[in-house]
Amino acid sequence: MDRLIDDVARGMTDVNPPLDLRAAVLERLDRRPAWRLLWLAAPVTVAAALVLAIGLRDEVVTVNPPPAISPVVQTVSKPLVDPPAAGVGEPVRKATRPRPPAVALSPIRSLAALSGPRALGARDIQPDVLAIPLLDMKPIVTEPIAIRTIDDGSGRHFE
Amino acid sequence: MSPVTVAVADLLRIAPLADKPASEGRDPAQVCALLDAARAGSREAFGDLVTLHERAVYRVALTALGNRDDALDAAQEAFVVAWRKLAGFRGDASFRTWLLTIAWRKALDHRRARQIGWRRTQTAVWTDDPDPIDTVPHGDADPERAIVAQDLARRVRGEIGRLSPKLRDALLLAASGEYSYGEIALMLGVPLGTVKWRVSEARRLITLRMDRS
Repeated sequence: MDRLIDDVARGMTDVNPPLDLRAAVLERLDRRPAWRLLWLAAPVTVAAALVLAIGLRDEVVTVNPPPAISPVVQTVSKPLVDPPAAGVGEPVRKATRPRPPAVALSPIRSLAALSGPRALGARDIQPDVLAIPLLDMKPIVTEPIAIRTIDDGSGRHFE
Repeated sequence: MSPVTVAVADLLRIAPLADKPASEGRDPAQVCALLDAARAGSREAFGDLVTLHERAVYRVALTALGNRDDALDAAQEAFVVAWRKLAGFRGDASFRTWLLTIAWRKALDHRRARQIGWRRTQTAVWTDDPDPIDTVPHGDADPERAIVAQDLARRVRGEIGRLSPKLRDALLLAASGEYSYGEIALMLGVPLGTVKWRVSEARRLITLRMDRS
């Protein structure tokens, strides 16, 4: 039985190859396989996609720039001078604190700034007491206007 | 062995299996010369190597695939791969064994790819079975015995087709008489004892199933 099985098994693969196998193989030696083209095309595609993505990203940033920081304008609602006496309708002045000019820090100064804050040597400000003299308003004296009587002869009087 | 089997064997004119194929061992001088020339870039020399080994390579592919067209494609691919890797061939094994290993792997790649499609198309493997009429020995005096032998061979072929791939591969490669057990072990990537066990197990299963039917 084993010999029968072996014979049948041998017959299943006992086939001669086609006569043109050699020529077909030699012809295929020159053919560039498709997967090599894929390996070449894939990195190029990825690189192109990256360049495109970066370009689009820059364009989006240009079109929608980040919101600019508006200059700080600090409005002081407190009047610099004491309000006058009640009843005097003087408008409240608003003062705008000017921003200090931007000075580029040198590296040394930057390092000094990193070392810690320096103690301020400014003296205490002693503001003078505001003494605004009261307004001395003189009474307005008006003299009566003398008007002559006009007589037009009709008996009526015009003043 | 039963008398029926003996009669069938006579009818099929079974040749005894070669214990050891003549191709095992180191490469002969002719192959070495062709290899050197092919490494130097001679396509003509490589073509001669193809001619020398095309039958062995083609049968390996046919064993794995069971289809002549697929086997031809796999054999061609194996030769192309061998040409590209020729510089890396160190000569640890014979060129034939190295080439057969490449061919077996290529054929397995085809088989895996086909199995994916096979689940979709439900195409049968071993579609290249010969026509039963062609298997009838010519010149036989007893047509009845010829029909019995033909039926028996058909049933054995069916049982071989129903084996698991591992057992079927080992049996077909060993029974072909083209390859030694050592070459089969290298091709399949398993120990020599495993190859022998698989061949034996395949025969045992086929015999068992034939007796049951």
